[in-house]
This record gives sequence, structure tokens and C-alpha cells, in this order.
Amino acid sequence: MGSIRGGRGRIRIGVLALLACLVGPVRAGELEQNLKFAAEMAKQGNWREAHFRWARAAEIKPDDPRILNNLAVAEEALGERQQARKTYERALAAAPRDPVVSHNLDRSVRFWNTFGGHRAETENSPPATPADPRRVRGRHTLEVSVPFPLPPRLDLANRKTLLVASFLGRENEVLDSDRELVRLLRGEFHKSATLETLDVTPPPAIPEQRLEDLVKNVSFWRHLGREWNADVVVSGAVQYDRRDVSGYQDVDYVSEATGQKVRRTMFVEQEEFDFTVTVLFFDGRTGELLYRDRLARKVLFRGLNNDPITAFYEISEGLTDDIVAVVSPRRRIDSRLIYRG
Amino acid sequence: MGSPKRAACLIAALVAACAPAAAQSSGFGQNKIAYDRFDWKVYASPHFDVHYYGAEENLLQDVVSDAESAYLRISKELDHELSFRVPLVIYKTHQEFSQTNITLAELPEAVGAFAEPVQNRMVVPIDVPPDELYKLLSHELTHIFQYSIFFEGYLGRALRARPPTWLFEGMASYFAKDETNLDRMAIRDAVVNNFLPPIQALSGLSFLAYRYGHAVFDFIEQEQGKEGVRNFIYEYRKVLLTNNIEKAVKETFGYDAEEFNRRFNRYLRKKYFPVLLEKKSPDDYGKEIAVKRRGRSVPTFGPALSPSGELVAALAAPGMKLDLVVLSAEDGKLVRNLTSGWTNQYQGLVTKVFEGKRDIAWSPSGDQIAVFVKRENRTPLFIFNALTGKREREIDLENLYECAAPAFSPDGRRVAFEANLNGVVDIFELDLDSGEIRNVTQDEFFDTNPWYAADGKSLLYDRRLGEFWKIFSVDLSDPSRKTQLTFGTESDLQPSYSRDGNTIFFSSDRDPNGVYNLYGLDLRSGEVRQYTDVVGGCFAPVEMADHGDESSLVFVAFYTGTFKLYRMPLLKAETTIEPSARMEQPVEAEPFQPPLKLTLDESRKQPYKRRWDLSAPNVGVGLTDDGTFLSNVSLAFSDLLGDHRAFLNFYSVSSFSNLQAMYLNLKHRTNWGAQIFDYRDYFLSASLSGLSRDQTYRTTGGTVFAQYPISRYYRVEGSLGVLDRAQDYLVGTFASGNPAFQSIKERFVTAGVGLVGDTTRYQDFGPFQGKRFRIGVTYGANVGGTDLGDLLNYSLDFRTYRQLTRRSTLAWRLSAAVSAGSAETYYAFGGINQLRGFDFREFFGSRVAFSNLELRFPLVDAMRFPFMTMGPVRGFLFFDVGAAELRDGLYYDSRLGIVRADFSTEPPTPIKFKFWDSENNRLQDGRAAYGLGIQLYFAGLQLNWAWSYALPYTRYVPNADRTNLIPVEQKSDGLRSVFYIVYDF
Repeated sequence: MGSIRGGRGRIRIGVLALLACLVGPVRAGELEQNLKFAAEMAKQGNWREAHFRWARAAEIKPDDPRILNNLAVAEEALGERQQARKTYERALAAAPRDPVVSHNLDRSVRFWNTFGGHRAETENSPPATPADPRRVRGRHTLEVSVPFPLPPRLDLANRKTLLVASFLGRENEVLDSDRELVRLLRGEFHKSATLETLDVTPPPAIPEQRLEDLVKNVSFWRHLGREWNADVVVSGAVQYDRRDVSGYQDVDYVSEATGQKVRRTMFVEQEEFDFTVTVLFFDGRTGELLYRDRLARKVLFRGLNNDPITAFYEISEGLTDDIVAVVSPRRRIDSRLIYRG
Repeated sequence: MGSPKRAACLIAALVAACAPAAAQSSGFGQNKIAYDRFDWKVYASPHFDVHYYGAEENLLQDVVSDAESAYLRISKELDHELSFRVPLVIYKTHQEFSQTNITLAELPEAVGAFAEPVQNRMVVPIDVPPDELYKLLSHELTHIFQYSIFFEGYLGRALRARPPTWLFEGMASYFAKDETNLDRMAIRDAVVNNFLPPIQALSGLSFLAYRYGHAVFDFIEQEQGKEGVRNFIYEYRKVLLTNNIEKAVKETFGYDAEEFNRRFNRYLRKKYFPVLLEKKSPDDYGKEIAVKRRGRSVPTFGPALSPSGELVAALAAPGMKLDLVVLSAEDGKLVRNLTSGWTNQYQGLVTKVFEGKRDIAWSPSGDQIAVFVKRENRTPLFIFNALTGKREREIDLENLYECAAPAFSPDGRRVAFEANLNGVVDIFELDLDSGEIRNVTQDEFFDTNPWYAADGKSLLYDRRLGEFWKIFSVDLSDPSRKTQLTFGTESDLQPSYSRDGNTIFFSSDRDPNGVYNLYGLDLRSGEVRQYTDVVGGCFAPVEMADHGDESSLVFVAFYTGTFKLYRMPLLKAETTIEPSARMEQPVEAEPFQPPLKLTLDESRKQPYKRRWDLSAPNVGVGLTDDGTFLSNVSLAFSDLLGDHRAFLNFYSVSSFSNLQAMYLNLKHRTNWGAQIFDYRDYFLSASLSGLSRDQTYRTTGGTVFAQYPISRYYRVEGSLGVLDRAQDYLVGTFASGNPAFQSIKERFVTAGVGLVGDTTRYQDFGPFQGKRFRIGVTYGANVGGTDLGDLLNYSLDFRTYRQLTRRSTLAWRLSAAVSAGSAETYYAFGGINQLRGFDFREFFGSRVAFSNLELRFPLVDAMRFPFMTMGPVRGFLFFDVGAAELRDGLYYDSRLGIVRADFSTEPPTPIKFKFWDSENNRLQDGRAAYGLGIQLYFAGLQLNWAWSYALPYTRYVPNADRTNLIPVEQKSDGLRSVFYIVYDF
């Protein structure tokens, strides 16, 4: 009997071992399915679903640097910056030399340093480019575009109304840039709907002062804020010019006679439009400066006598986004690398 | 749509087995299976003979009360008495109802009941809430009154009349008063979105035709009172056979149909436009996330959210059928179609969207999506892997029928659902680990739409109280503890908990206009908040997982004629009803009671007695490409329940007449029957030598047969019989090579078996996807007459259809027949759609085969003329190939009219059959043709024109001195055009 029991015991152990072997792959299969699906979801921009899948995978394999890397990207995408940072660090701790994790972390730090915090004054420029993702990208990785949620740069607690005042501007033959900018900003602030944009027409005039004196004129801004019951007052200085930059250039073109590409030096007529705006956000109750930024952009247009209004709106399209982002959450696209499975 | 017609299948199958020249005939068709046995009895109430069976005994009194109440009311309103007793056949459940033999057509879920005009039978399943049963009986009884009023007992009038759907169904709905707020939603939506067609256009069977028709009768009542309704009905009776509605309108109202349409549209707008002005569209609340095809939304409903809340599973129709899909809840982008393509694993996904029920569930683990499917007479639960789309489990729920509305428990180990157990619909719970099922509501009420609480200890559900659905909660540890959560005389549907568990979201028609909108019952304050206020209707709210500060609902809206999926932020409520205001409403809906409550008289119960009556006759005609006329006339008789059927079939090919008398017993799963027949036909119609005009055969005999359906798609068949035949046998050849025939009489005792499969799906133009086949063998032992030996015949007919685009199909057929016994049987083929480019039945032999490949595509949908509409017109490209061989490798050349031989020897040596001339790399005795054609559907017939081009082949022709045959290349005769009237294979 004993030997029989022993025999059965061995059989049971054998069966259990066999089951364990079977269960292992099944579990692994499920994990693989989840990881593949999560990567697909991330690629399609379904970041919450991707996060759900990677979080589940991380529960099964908590120290897998690939899963942690992907999870960190999803956390970033959902706006959980601090948690993402920790997860990247966990991934790096598990695989210190993983180039993908290093790349993502580097890119993440630069991105959030540029766009994540409140700054007193910055030159608006894209983040410094980290290592070329193509160098670290392999066939197991996938580069995905992530629309990162950025919070408003100003703390909007207890602030409800916004007034766009006039801007210091040099009226020239090109355009009444002050008036156009105010009109444009009021429209954009209104669309963003974070603060109620006050309908004040014409926009309140501001003292003809140097910009630095204007910034220090706290009593004026406080007065303006109280007069119009505005929690935030927006003003600043704007400069919009164009100049003829025609000249000789090397131009490549395809010869109609031979069909070959030919380089020629020829005279090219073109204009450069130069748009610079210094934007100031004041506290309407205290008159203090809350935020200051300087944005500048130059754009070349072929030919002379281009329409200045069309050029103005084309140039200002990107800049106004950055101005509105001071009081409104927005998304900014950056790329990250994730593991496919 | 393919209708499973058992009798038709059997007839055709038997023809195929017994008729020698019928290699082209085939017995296909899907099986309508009698899964259950019923012990029928009859109760004679004052106006009805109620046919019921034992399991319905306790419901008989209610049915009789409802039916007699309906009779009294409708008879009075129509001022008409029926001169006959109405046979009312009731089934305990819809799945039992769908097994009825009263019609041999398939009865899908959408068919709630029916009435037929020949024997005036009402056939009704009774597993619906009491108030709905009364309305259902009233609806079908109105049809019986229509038959009595319009047809006046004349079968000819019934067969010739073509009343428009809106009139027949609208009138039935009007007198039954069966329109619900869900129904009104459809007509209201159509009116305010301005897509109501003129009344003349609604002659087809559609949901809108029912609703539109009902509205017409409401309008007539408003304009002219009940008397006006009656006048219109009796005026229509005068013009029934011409279907001249315009005349009936003119006679009744004094103005023409155009004016009627104008006034009717004004009535509808006046009724519904105020609703439009004060209400919004679902787009005002949120973003549409329905599946799109070519930029247009397709019906999408039944949402179930993934745990992340970013994906939503739904039922949608991105193609030609309803699929289970996964979408992005953000923008509706299709992520997965879990049921793409065609399958024979089930007939379709179960949806009850128009009954206000949920359809699918997503497991809390996120990996599984559950949906019920219709398979045979059951509704098993299918669990799909949400990630891969694979079907992981299928669970057949024994004894439970018509399952719907699944919901996963929070731990993902149980699924709650609605199911029908012996005619009572309750909420059941399935343990996915153990497979155990328990009834968690266990009451006489109809219950549906379960939804678990977050702790899994209780669940919400809908209970039918009187005419209304109310929300209840049941304690799962003690199912006797049920709590009613909503009150009043309105329906509150599809409850779901908010993610924090403090609110119950639901859809309710408590709006004064009866519009279904989304509401939330705050369980802490007792407040009811209304979140939407739309023209159409909003259903099935589910709260998405929080994303930041924003809370959103995913819901289904009926808008612009269809159900679509929406996502809306949960912002400020439209209105809030305080608990104090709610208390002013009626506390409880009244249980339904019919106007008459009759008691049963036991002496009026009788066992069912079979009585034969005439069913509808059937007439068909055809024309082959050589002008041969084909016809078929069938007379059918059946008993009242349709279980016993008799047929008299007369059909002809040219001047050859055939007769068949058959009895069929369809009562049980195994069908059986007997037949006697006399077939006369020919297999060789011409000979250039003038020796023979027609070589004929006659087969007279009788068989008993049976068939057993393995499933809906496959069956086995068998037969035993006696056959007496006289056939022109090929007994030799003359010196000229002309065949010598001799009529020989034989008698056989036969036995045959066959296997039949049919998974074909149909559109209006014919089959477009699936396959069908019949393989059969018949053995006959010679028992009399000239003893040439025994009979052994094999046959194969295989057809497959592959959908290429929405309306184009690739079709392939292979048909073969082999006579392998000592007693030979001849088969003939050629022409029509068997081998185009050659004459009808040009080829004959004891071993024949042909194959056709066709690409069928649409050309013109309809050709409209002032006096009629023809169409559609479709085109086809084809490639046909076939060959016929006589015994011992002999080959009969139909064009020379001789059996081919080498005449240089004495006696002449046969030049044997060879399909392919390998020396010259072309066909020899095989024939092939390709070409194109068009077909037009007219008066129920398919008219075909084909232009074919035959492939070259090696042919033996007389040499110069006509002493022998020499092989030459027979080039094509050029383009050959033919016309024939037969249906596509």
C-alpha cells in the first residue's frame, strides 16, 4: 500500500509539475497578449487603456524594465509626471544600461523642464533635442507620439475673469499690430474658456511708457483690474515689421530640357516678417506681475508686397497657443519609445 | 433570405435521388428542426379554438380571457363578427413558437407572432408580460378580422390581394393599441428629421411601415372619428384586388391621396414639431462615437466599457451583419471587430435593443467580453477575448432559453442575465468556475437588465409591473429581499451604478411626451436628476472611469433613424426632481387585467384531432435556351398544426409530364414520409441521322423516406422504395455508328442515403455567401422485368459562394452523377446555366460532370417606368466546363449523332472518351465555354441573356471519303447568345 501511495504521490507531483509547466506558458501568453494590445492601444492614442494593461502586466512582472518603461510613458501621457519619473527610475534600477529607458527619461526631464513649470520669463523655444531616437530604436521598440497634458502656467485658483488691455505697439504702414493682437488674443482666450474673457471694447488704453516702467506700474494695473472687475489683466508690447530680404541665392531646379537637377544662382525676391511680442499677465487685484514671456518669430515669404494681415495670422498661430497656455491647460506632442511586447 | 423549408428540401432531394436525368436537381435548404414534442389539446372558448399543450395548462385561462376580451373590443370597433371560429395556437416560449410547422419558413426573433389568411390561424408565443400578451393577441386577431373583412373567405382574394404593409400592420397596431414609447420614438424621430416617405412608398416590410401605418389610423380617427376609420377600411375592401388606395382615400375623405399625404404630414408635424422646438439632439450633450463606414455612422449600441473606460464594446453593423466590436470611447475609432467574417458557429448575436435591454458585458479583468448568441434553438453565452478576438468559452445554459442582458460580477467570476425558464423570465446567475446556475429573482414577474453593485452582494434589475418597468435591487445572499427603488407609471430601464456607487443611472420615459431620457437617482439625497432632454431617446447609460476631474457617461441614442453611441460629460442636470416631488407620484403601477376575466369550462377541453385543409398552391415556370418550357404546379394540404402535410406536384419538361404525390410527417426531429411518383423525361433530344428523335425514360414507383437533421445546416437522409422503369437503353451501334436504343423495363427495390449541407446566406438577388452540397447514393436490386443487373447511382452537387463586395459574389458549382451498377442510368446536361454555348441537354452519359464558375455583380438597381418597376439588373462573367461519358469509355458525339469509333476496323473499334487531348494540349471530349451575361428579375422570374464563347477542342469528323473519322481542331463557333429563364445555381 505504501509503495502504491508513494507511487501516486509521485504521479501527483508529476501532474502538478506538468500543470505548472502548462500554467506558466498560459500566464505568459496572457501577459504577452496584454503587452501587445497595450502597445497597439498606445500607438492609437488610447493611453488609459494602455496604462491599464501595462499596470496589470507590472503586477505580474514588477521588475521588468520594459514593462516599467512603457508604464512610465503611459503615466506621463496621463499627466502623472511624478509617478512617471519614479517608474522610469525603477526601470533604470532594474536595467541601468537600457538605452530606451535612458532616452525616455532624458527626454522626459528636458520636456518637463521646458514646459512643465511656471517661469518668470523665458524665450519660447522647443526643448533641447536629446539623442536621436533612431539610434536607440530597435525592432522591439516603437516610437509613439504622445500629446502630453500641460497644466496652465499660472495658478488660477480664485481667478475667474480676464481682461485683455492694449499693447504697446508701434503703429506703422504694415499693420495696426496692437489692435490685431488684442482682437486675436481675446478670441483665443474666449475659446479656451478657462477664464471668462471680459468683453471690453475698445480695449483699455495703457500708459505710453517704456516696457520696464509699465511692468512696475502696479497702481495702474490694480486700478484697471478693479475698474473692470478683472482677476487677470493681459497686456505687453508688440512689434510687427517686414523687410525686403531679396538677394542672390543658389536654387536647385529640374531642367525641362534634360530632366536633370540643376543648381543655379539667381536673384530671389522675398520678404521677412518679424513678429515679436512681450506678454505680461498682471494680478487685477494687486497689480503685481504674475507672468512674463517674450515670443518672437520670423517668417520668409516669397515675392514682395505680401498681404500683411495674412502673414500676421500665419505667424501668430503658434505664438498665441503659447500665450493662451499661460491660463489654459493644453497638450503638447512629444515622442517616446515603448517596447512592442 | 434563405428560408429553411423542410418539405421543399425533401421533395427536391427525392427527385434528385430517383429521377435519372435530374443530375441538375438538388435538394438543399437549411433545416427547421422540431426540437421539442408537444402533446396538443384544444380548448373551445366562445370564439376561439385554443390549441395548447400540457405545460401551458396553467396559463390557459389568461390566454382565453385575453383573446375573448380582444375579440369583444375589436369586433365592436370594427362592427364586424367573424363567421368562423379562430384557431389560436399558443406556444409557451418563443423558441418553441419558432419550431411551429404552421409555416415552414424560419421565424427569427423579430417575429413576435403571426396570423395566416388561408386557415385563419393565429400563432402566438405567450412568454411576454401580461399586458403585452393582450396586445399581441389583439394585433393578430385584427389580422384575422382583416382576412374576414377583406378576403371574405375566398382563397382567390387572399392570394391575389397585395395590401401594403403600412395598411395591414398599421391597422393591426392601431386596433391592438400596442404602440409603446419605444415605437413612438421611431416615428417622432422620422418626423422631426424629415425623412418620412410618402404613404405609397411604404409597401415593404419594415419597422417604420408599422409605425407609419399606426400613425395614419390615428390621423384618420382624429379627422373623422372611429366611423371614419371603419369607412376607410370598407372602402379599401372595394379596391382590394387593384390595391387602389387613392380611390379608397378619395371615397372616404373626399380628397385625393396627395392631399391626404399633405394633411397627414401636417398632422404629424403639428404633433411632434413642438417637441423638437423644446428639446435637443444627443449631439448637444456629447460626442458621437458610433462606428463609421465611408464616413457615415452605422447602427451602434449595447455599450459595455473596458475597465480603463477608454474602450467600449458595442454591437454594430460595419458590414452586412451585426458584429461585436471594440471602439475607442474617445472618438469611436474601430479598434477590433471580434466577430468579423461569416461563421456557422452561431446564427447571430442576441440583441434586444428595441426592448430596452442591455446586450453585452465586459469583464472587470478587462480581458473578456460576454454576449449571448443564437444557435439552433438555444442562446449560449459566448465569451470573447477582448484582446485577440478569439472565442474563449461557450456556455450552453440548460433549460434556459432566450437568454439576454449579461452582466459580470465585480470579481469577474459570475455572470447575471435574463432567461426564460418554462415561460417565466427571471434573473439568473452563472458561476463561471463551477458552471452552476441559480435563479436570483424567482418570482412571477418578468425581470431583466441585471447590474451588480460594486461589492457584488446585490444587483439592480428591471421588473415589469403592470405596463411599466421599475428598478429593483435584490440581495444576492437572500434573494427574497428585494427593494423597489423607483415608482410611478413610467418605465425605468437599464439601471447602472455610478463608479462611486452613490447614483443609479437609468433611462426613463417619465417625460410628458414619453421620451426616453437619461436620469440619475442619487441614493444619498433621493434626488432624481435628468441629464438629457432629447427628441429621440437615450438609453443604456454607463459611467466611464474618471479622467482627471471629468466624469462622463457613455450611452445609446436613437437619432436620425438609428441607434448610435455617444459620450457626454456629466455636467449640470437639465432638471432635478426633489424627493418630496417624487412622493407625489403614484406609488405603484397597477397590475394588468384584461377587460374580461373568464373561467375555464373543463368539458370544453378536447384532445387535438387532425383535420386536413388546403394550404397555398404554388406555380412556377421556366424556359431553357432551346425554347423548352418548364413548369411546376404544386398543391399542398396540411393539418391545422402543419405537422402532417400532403403534396400533389405536377411538373413538366417540354411535353413530358411528371406527377408526384407525397405525405410528410414533420412532427418530430426525424421527419419521414412516403411518396408515389410517375416521372417521364428524355435524355437525348435530336440526332442528325434522323434515327432517333427522343430517347426517353419513365420511372414509376413509391418510396418511404426519412431525414434526420444533425444541426441547422446538415442532415442525413435515407429512403426505401420500389421502382418500375422503362428506359431507352443504348444496346449497340449500327454500322454507321448511330446508336441503337431499346426500351427495357426493369423493376428495383431501392435504398438510398444522402448527406446534405447548406450554410448559404442570401440577399435579394440570391445566394452570396456560404456553401451547400448533397452527396447521395442509391442502390436498387433488380426484382423484375429485364434483368440487366442492379442499380448503383452516385451523385454529388457542391456549390460555394464567396462574397467579394457588398453585392458581388463569386459562385462555383460542381455537379456530378455516376451510374456504377450493372443497370445503367443515363444523365443529360447542357445549355441553360449548366454548359452555356451548347444546346440544352446536348450531352448524355452514365457518368457526367459539369462545373461552373461565376462572378456575379450588380448593374442597375431598378428600372422605373410610369406603369411598373423592373429590376434589379445584374451581370455575370462565367466559365463552364463539363463532360459526359458512356459505359466502357464510349463517347456519344451529339453533333454527329454517332457513338464515336474507328471505322477502319471490323467491327469498328470505339474511340474511347478522353477529356483532354494531351498531344494537342486542348480539350477533347470535355467542353468549356466562357462569357458574360445579364439577368433581370421580372414578375418573380429570373430572365437571363448570356453571350458565350466555347473553347476549342479536338473533334473527330468524317474524312474526305467519309469512311472513317479523323481528329481535327474544332474552333469556336464564335460568340453565341442564349436566353433562358432559370434561377442561379
